[in-house]
Amino acid sequence: MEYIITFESTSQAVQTERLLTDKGFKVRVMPLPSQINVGCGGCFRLEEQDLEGALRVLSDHQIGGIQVFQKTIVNKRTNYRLYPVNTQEEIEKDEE
Amino acid sequence: MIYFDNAATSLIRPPEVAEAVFYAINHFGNAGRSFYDATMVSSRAVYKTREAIASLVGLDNPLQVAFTSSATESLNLVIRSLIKPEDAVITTVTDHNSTLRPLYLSGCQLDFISCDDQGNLLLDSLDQLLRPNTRFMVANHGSNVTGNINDVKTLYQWCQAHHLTLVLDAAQTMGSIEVKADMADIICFTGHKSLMGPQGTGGIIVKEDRTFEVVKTGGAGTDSFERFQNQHVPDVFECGTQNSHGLHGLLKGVEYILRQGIDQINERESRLVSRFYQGIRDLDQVTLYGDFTRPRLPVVSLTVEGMDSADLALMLWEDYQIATRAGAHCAPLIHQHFKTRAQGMVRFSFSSFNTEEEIDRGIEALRRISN
Repeated sequence: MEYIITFESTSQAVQTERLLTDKGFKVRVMPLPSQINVGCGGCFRLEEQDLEGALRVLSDHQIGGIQVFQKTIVNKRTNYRLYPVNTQEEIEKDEE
Repeated sequence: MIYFDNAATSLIRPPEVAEAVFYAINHFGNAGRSFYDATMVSSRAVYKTREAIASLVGLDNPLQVAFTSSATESLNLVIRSLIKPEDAVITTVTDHNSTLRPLYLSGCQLDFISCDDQGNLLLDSLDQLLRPNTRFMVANHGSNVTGNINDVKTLYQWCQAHHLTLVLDAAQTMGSIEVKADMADIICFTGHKSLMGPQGTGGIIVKEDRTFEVVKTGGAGTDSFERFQNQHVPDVFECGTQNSHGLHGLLKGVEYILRQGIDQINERESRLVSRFYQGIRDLDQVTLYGDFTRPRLPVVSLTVEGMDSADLALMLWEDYQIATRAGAHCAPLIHQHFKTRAQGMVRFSFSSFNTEEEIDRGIEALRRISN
């Protein structure tokens, strides 16, 4: 399963790419799919096994305003479904 | 040529600055637009430049640095974003037209901190300048004419005590002396002077995230179907194509400064300016402007009795190949203060790339001309 992370701005996306690559995550950048938001922004593609760790890094660095979408392909058609993201408080609660 | 016009721009730069611009112009796509290799290389270079500036000024979040084309553009954007005609604003008689003219244009009520015979701000007068609607102070960190460094700590403490936002013009200081993000609420800087970057680079540093009114708008790479763009730094000031070529050069300039250390650069510049001052202070025909009793910028402005500043600068250039700057230096109020409007001054401004031998040749030229 593949996931898409979107950002409030391209400068925030570049900052986040730096944070994640510094932590060893493989980040693939792509144009923002039109069905998420028509524009000329960018987003990240992440594999399922990297999602939780990546979100933790973003939470640790207080990167706000992100959204996560789950990518599915049905009958050769790509769909992006908004994927609920745990807040920093929920992550801390899980750790307890 | 002996280049003594570093307060105008740093002509002598670390070679890697030009190399970086050359590389960028051949390899960089449009930063923040599209996401293939050439654009990502460009975007990452711009971000790395933010990181370098943040590191220089002790800022945790590089996104609190926005890039512009110059300190002048930075000051225009900040002043137009924040200051309304109903506001009263305090500035100083030592400030540059890059501050004064945007303030005049804003229609705000202006009050000026004056200065003494050595160009030092009269900080005791601050309380008298305060009005019920005073909301901002816009002041330079260092004068581009006298080379005096303003007491920003006192200014900012006073601003904070009276709930004023301090906008600091660090065009002459950043890269030459220590500038920290917590010295003011907003700092405007240029890249092409002491930061050693190319012309066409500059920026705005905000101590804390705040909302700015959008005064420059256009393509931002995101939310293309919204009528208005993001109001937060850096995006609010960065619509349109970034000067990523120039910023890549600025990155190398700032990295050079970080490697050398501000203290070492400042020590070298102080030594050079002190040598120059000691060499000319006894010349009867020469009048110096500024305070030479305390730490200062490597800037010395002077007049030779009876001589138009343009003639003096021309003589220095034609007879000695010494590049200086004559005239009013876009700082009209300090010239009015020193009554040099008609004569102008000649400004010698040094950088750490100048040598003792060059300083001595400057001294010798002035001695001959003024005799």
